[in-house]
Amino acid sequence: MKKLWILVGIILLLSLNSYSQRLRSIRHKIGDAMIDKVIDDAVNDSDNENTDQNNSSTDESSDKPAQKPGGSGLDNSLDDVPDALAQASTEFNAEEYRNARTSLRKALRTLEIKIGEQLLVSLPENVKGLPVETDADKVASSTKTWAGLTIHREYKNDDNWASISIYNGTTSGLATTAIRSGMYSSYEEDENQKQVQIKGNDAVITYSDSDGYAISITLGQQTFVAIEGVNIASEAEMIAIAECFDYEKIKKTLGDQ
Amino acid sequence: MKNIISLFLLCVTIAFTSAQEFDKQIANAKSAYDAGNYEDSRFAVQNALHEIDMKIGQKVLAVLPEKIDNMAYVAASDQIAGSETTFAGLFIERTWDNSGAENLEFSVITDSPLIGTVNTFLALPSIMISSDSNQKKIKVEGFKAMLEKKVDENNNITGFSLMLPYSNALLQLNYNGTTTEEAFLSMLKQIPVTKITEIAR
Repeated sequence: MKKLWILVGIILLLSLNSYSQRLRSIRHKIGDAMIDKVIDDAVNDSDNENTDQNNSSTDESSDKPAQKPGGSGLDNSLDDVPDALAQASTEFNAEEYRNARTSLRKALRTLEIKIGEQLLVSLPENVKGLPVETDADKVASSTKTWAGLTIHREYKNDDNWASISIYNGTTSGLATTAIRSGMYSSYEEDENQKQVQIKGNDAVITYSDSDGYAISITLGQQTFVAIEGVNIASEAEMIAIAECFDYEKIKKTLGDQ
Repeated sequence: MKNIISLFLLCVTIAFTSAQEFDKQIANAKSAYDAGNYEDSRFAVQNALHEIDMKIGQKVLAVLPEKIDNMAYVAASDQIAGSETTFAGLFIERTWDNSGAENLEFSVITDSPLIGTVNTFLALPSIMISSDSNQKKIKVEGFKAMLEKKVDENNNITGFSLMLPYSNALLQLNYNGTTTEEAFLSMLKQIPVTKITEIAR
């Protein structure tokens, strides 16, 4: 869904006419490349799946021992923000700009993970009878993903499923502009897509037999919320799920206006 | 002499102001973090990152020549954009122009999405890319790069482009005009590629 959203965002970006001259120049240079990147990533994902299948059959005939579960894995602990800031300051004054940038990005990652965790705590634990699946909670920093700071939560009861993904950053700002200007809609009349409002926020709702419902909501200047629903009975029920979330609080937590 | 002194003083003033702004943003980030206001701290860190991007961009522009062959650099076209506006990484651009008859665009994009594509091309055996006679691999100061000749429908040269990936960045040159490959490579020699790769990584 994230890749699809990014791809949609890119396509919208490329068609935005009202953006500043400077960004237009930049967009020219990297817009096409971004599309290539997203497509490449999607292709690589499927390639990796194939490779994994091939490797498993190869491993059976080699002497390489199987990995036992319980390894310590990677250290994903968060960097200390004051330490990273002090380090960046020292490096900047020594004109070690590359190192200073790395230190600041460490601080930024920690801050964004903390903001994401704060936001997850504030989200409801149940939406219209669907309890939260806390194992699926995810926070990704803008230092790791092009979509910006990303917060994801899922809800599930039997075959009924819903999720909320919150994106905050530059690309999210472009997507919000596209939705507000109506550019998100297709040029043709599409019976499975329409513009709605969720608690006063501009949004687009779509439906497909294969994927169910999806609502894209614009918040503030740089925040974009995607809510998905599978096996949700009706548009009204999907909108009711979307209305379970406190968008003012989301905006406030992200410092958006 | 007077102009040189004025320019020097201006550079010193800009550098001092920039350092002051960076220190201010770091102080803001720390005090907001200590107060548990992570969003304000994040905003200050993003501003500090912007200051660093500007410094890196200024250093790259400073090592670029003001003239390349008959083309003079267009001061107004110099651009530096930080990661907060490009959704990729740092973006630096300069253009040289010869009264509209020809121009050369230089850019560096860090965290560029095109790096993977270009690296894939550069990793391919020559036999796999020989079908396109307008593209080839070359070496520039030891770096592998992709050179492309641009032609019109009558096969007349309309320009050249070069993509050179390094570290997490992509250096690009885009020449528009009629020239030979040798002349384009001669222009390329006037760009301090190694020095740029050391500054903007």
